[in-house]
Amino acid sequence: MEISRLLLGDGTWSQFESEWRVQCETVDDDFDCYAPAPLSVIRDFASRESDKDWAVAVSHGDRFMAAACAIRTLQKGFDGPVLRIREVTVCPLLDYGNLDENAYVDTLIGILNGAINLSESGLEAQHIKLHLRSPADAVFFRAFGMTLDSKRVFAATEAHGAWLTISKA
Amino acid sequence: MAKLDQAVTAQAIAEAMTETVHAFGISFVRTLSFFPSASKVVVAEAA
Repeated sequence: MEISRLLLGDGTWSQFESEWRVQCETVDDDFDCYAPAPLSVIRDFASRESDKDWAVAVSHGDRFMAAACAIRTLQKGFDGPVLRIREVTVCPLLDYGNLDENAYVDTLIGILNGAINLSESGLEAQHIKLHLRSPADAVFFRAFGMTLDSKRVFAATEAHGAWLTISKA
Repeated sequence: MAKLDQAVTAQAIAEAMTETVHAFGISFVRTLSFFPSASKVVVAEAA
């Protein structure tokens, strides 16, 4: 899977929206009603020619599997830039259970690896923070963070409050 | 800023995520906020 920027100005948002409209039709949903809150924020980010606020999508071939906002910023308490990932939203086919179980795992892996790749090239940052919007997110990513931390490839991985934080060094 | 060995980090993330998903199960994964239908279930249950 690959992560890429979505922009209204270069047609990539249009490509993304068209693909998710087709996915919505496949599952008898309406794109205009699909995840309206996060997608409106992601679309707003796609309208910006900013060098620090991006709309991004994780794709597998021609299929967009997930979309999110990526924000590079400085934050009190962190040495070096922080890359925040917010409003993560998976595609209609995955949400409606039309894909096999491997697609769930692969998409979650794709989101995290995509964030790491962005922090290395494009939105360079020393820390990656994934926003956890629900209690289920907090429980799941606390366990994931502990497992990842035990592999000792990052300086630290910790889920605290509404964020999973991966520090590279 | 020192560059990561992205092959190593990608492998570690894949292993950690696979282990976590297997521990929790796909049904739990579908309750994550990343899935728009998860919030619809909460709203429906509240109603």
